[in-house]
Amino acid sequence: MKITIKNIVKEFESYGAEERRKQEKIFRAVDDVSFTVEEGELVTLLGPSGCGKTTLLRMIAGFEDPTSGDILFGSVRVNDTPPNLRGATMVFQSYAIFPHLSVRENVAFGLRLQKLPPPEIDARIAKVTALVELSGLDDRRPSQLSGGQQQRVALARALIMEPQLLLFDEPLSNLDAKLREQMRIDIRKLQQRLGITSIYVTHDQTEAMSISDNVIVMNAGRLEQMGPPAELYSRPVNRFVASFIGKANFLPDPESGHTIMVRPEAVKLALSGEQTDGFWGRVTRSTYLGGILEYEVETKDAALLVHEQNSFERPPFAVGDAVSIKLLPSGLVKMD
Amino acid sequence: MRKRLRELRLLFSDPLLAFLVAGVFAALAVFVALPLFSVLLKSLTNESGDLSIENYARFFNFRYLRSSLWNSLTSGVTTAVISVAIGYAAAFTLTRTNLPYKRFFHVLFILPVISPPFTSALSILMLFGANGMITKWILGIQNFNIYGFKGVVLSQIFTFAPVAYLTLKGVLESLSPTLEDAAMNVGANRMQAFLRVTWPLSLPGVASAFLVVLIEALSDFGNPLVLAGSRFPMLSTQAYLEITGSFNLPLGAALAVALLIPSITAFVIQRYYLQKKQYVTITGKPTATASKLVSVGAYRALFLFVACFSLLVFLFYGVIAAAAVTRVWGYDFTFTADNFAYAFGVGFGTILDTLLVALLATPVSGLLGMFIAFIIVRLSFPGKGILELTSLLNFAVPGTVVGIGYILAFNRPPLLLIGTLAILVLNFIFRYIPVGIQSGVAVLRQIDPSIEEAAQNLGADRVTVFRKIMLPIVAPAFFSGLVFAFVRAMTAISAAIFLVSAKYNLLTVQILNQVGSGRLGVAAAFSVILVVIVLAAIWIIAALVPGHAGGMSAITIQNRESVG
Ligand SMILES: Nc1ncnc2c1ncn2[C@@H]1O[C@H](COP(=O)(O)OP(=O)(O)O)[C@@H](O)[C@H]1O
Ligand SMILES: [Mg+2]
Repeated sequence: MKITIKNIVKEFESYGAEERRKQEKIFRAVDDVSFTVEEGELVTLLGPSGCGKTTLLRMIAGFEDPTSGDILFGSVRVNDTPPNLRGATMVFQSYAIFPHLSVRENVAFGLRLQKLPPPEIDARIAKVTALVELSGLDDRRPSQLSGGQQQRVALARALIMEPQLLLFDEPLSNLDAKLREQMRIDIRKLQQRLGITSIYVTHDQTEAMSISDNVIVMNAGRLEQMGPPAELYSRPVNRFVASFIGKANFLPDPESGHTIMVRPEAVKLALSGEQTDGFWGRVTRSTYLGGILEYEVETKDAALLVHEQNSFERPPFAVGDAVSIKLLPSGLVKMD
Repeated sequence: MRKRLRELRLLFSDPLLAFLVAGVFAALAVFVALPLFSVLLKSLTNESGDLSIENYARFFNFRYLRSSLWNSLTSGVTTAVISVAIGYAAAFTLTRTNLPYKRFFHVLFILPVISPPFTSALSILMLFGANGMITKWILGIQNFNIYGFKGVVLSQIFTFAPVAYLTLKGVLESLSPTLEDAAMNVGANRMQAFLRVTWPLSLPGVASAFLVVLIEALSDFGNPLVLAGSRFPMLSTQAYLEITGSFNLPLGAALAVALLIPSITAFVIQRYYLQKKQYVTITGKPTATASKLVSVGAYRALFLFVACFSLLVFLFYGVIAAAAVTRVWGYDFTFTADNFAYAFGVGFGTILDTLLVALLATPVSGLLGMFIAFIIVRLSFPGKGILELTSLLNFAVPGTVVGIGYILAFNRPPLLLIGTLAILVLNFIFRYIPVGIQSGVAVLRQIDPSIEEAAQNLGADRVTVFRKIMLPIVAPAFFSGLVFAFVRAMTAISAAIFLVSAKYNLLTVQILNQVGSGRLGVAAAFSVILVVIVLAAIWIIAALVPGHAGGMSAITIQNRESVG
């Protein structure tokens, strides 16, 4: 199902101490955001904590009402549809597993409300628990489950409804690093196999890059840029996007007065004698990260971060080395 | 056995600490266990002092006595059911809707908690009594009889619904609204989300609140004394009347034991069964309260309800304030300052006594409670379980039983304390240590033991650790415990009424005396004075103690911790 978000705004009566000091009665958590999600796509909302991702997702799910703007599921405007009739199920950050129900009853919750015949419910539970690799835990209590298992219960509970749209609110943020990587691969495979349109919230750029068809970068309630991961990395439209996704150097362009962004990988260094005529600098930090070597190079008017593939052909540059610097033309991005 | 010995040896490796622990044991034995034991023993003797079950036989044979048990139970259960319903609605409104002025409503709802427990009885007399403002003057009913079941229940609901409210607010706050979102997200409508998620999850809390109110209602003394009337005997007041009216101590003791049994049963169920079943699903920061669980219609209904209850609070307190400056309530509504003049005239000594007792008892009670909390959380020694149970017992034991126990246990040398200031102070100290213990335990359990270990590692002995590390950390809980204990000490009546004397009287007892002799205006004036003192004390502590430890929030916090 295609999802269209048109000029969504959400204002809260501000409750933060910060806002109260500034005497601002109204706080804009989401500020005029528009985008579309095509059928079967997974789109990620990426941005720092507090930028309005959850609020936006909750409006799509129907838990919050937008102050203005439209939410369309297909061609139907759903602004006034209550959350239980939207057919968009959500995996909550805290999982929100019902603590008084067994795993099985948690998963079956939505179907029981629909009063489906028990054999059909059983069949669907079996199917979905197999899908999320949760079989055999049916009668457990939620308190007896590990974090990863709870995560799968939350996923199964959402999937069993065969939703038109699947919403994820930082679903992996409570898991340890290893499990997080495994789960994100599993979620992506599952989403592609079932072809469910999905919106996925995260503040982790690696997670966003690895899982999405399209990424939306948000900052302070606004949409900064939307595009496939490769485009966001190679062609960020502004400083915020450039530095939120990966690392970036910003250099003044002496000719146009614009700022030029260059990724650390697009900077090439070579050992030089003192005082070359071209662009040169001195290494002030040299860090051996394994696959890559990271340097900080100080030039006449800037400090550059440089990543070099570890080629094992020569020793890394040392602190104090004078190096000549070349910027790959294809890696230069003009910002305003 | 070996473990026990090792624990003992460990304890005695720190002689001062061992001495203090032994002291706590002795104090609890004398001032908690001994009085209870005395009541039990007395109830099993006849009037000539021989062992017999005569009193219980009389209890079962005389309808009047038997019905006092029945009346206490039926009115207690009715009060508890309605109080929980009101408390749930109020707590639900404050935790699940965008009600404006939440803090104001909250303070209003808990106002009855800081008033003497029979304030509402007084208001009810003045509103619905034979000369009541509503019954006689507005509705024109002659000689309306408010006494008995309906009066007691009405008054107790007003007194104890706030207790249920506080408990249930804690319960609902600990249930994440996200669970309701999750239910609606997979297709539940509002009603289904409430009935299948919110309600079952809050059920242990509801049961707990029910039992807490039941315990309080059973031990309630002031409301029955004012409103039960002679045709509706109730256990707590009947025990008092047997002792002070008929001088029949053994029978009074037997009635007290009859009261003790349901109270202790409810306490044990609440504490050892229900508390383990409670769900806490809030993790980390509390989420936004704006929830779609409540429809516009339901919100209006809840708002109406909250507004009505608030009006009732205003009405009840307004009536008291008005009566305090009225010549003769019900007949002559002209303004007068006579009541206050009279109250200060005859009652100035009483006001001072009350303050003195509360000021002496509260800090000692708080410190002792903290120390016991420290012992419970951080030490292990034989008999710890018994010590913990004994120190918490006073939550459940009705004041009437404690009062009778004190006059039985301390009426001859070497423990001749009757008629002294000491017996009042001691009674309050041991009655309110559970408050300190509960809040202390809650805080100490959250402190990483390695903090203490670090201090010991740097050369501090365990008493120094308690003084230098633990006390500062628990200070906020300690002060909020103090506020609560002070309020309780100022407003308590059920045990104190047995222990006052011509020399040392208390305000609450004074108020009841005035009600008894029909001087409602003077009683109202005393009540106003009492509430003003309590509020002033709360504000003073709030001003002196930074943060949220003092003030009204202390009442909230303490109540929550004391009933879990
Ligand atoms: N119910 C609310 N009332 C007032 N402010 C809110 C409410 N919910 C969220 N906010 C504010 O809106 C901003 C965005 O919150 P959120 O959407 O949760 O951010 P994110 O999920 O990106 O971390 C935050 O500053 C938060 O404090
Ligand atoms: Mg969020």
